[in-house]
Amino acid sequence: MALRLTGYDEVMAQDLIQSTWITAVRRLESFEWKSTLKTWLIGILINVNREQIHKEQKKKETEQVREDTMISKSGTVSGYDIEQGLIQLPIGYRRVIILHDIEGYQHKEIGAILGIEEGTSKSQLFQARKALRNWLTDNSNEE
Amino acid sequence: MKSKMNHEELTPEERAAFDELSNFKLPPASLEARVINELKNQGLIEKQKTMNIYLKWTASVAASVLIFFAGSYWGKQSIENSDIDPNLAYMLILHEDESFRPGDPMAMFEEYGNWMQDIIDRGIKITGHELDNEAVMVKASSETHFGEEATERTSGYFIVEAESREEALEIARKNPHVKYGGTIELKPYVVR
Repeated sequence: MALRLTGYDEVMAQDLIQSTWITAVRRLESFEWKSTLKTWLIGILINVNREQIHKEQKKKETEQVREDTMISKSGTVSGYDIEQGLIQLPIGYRRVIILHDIEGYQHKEIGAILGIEEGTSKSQLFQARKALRNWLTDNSNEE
Repeated sequence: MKSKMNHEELTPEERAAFDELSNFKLPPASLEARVINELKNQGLIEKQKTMNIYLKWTASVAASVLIFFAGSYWGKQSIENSDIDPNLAYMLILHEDESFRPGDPMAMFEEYGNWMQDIIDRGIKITGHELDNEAVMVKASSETHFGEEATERTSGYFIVEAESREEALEIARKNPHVKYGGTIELKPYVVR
């Protein structure tokens, strides 16, 4: 998940994990088991990633499209294609689609993790899928 | 064509593509040491007396265990994504009752860490998960709800791939849960 949030930047992902654990240990006293530990940790992971993006100014809310990326032939979509598409999505869309379509969280849980309304999570997922599909369509190497 | 897509649902093909992504990539082994070293450098592991005031034992133990479930760094699905051979699988079910007396949180953190490290060093596959305090006992005639305050509970489980019942038993006996008055139920898988 750290890799996906960081656009598959391994160094950034490892920094993210380290910072997440440090933050988690510092905040353990505030954890009240109202969610599972893992959900709580993922919430921290996402918040640390937000700070990471802000501080390092490496990632922006809308990432630039990689012009040279081509995906598989028309009529098929693979996990690789999805990963390429995810990198192109604005980070807000990417978070929701990772949490829902890859990690399997429900909108209510996503709302709690991201600090947004359940309805906002639904609409973000709708827009995220739309953006992902548009990107996949635009970048498929149809002949 | 784009506008005709139903963005509220994934197509079966897309679902399959997303499912491919559940094959997570493990972080490098060095990351665990790096994280632990940094925690020590920042005094977050060794300042026991200070931490004891704040840490709930469960949080420290769970955190320790989670650290060693490397895959769980990366997402929700990974922890269920073990390739343990059912023919060699044993489930360790962790129970607690009034006699359970958790110890020093940081000591338990270390003990669970050592327990997990020993298992991993021996090349034994392991997975597991914490379980919520809340539970419902369902019978044909009634349903009994147990809440956060329940004194008897099943707090988690591990599944290990052991060469023999004796090896699985050894792993169970060494789990810190037993030392603190908890009970571990060891059950082999049945493969028919």
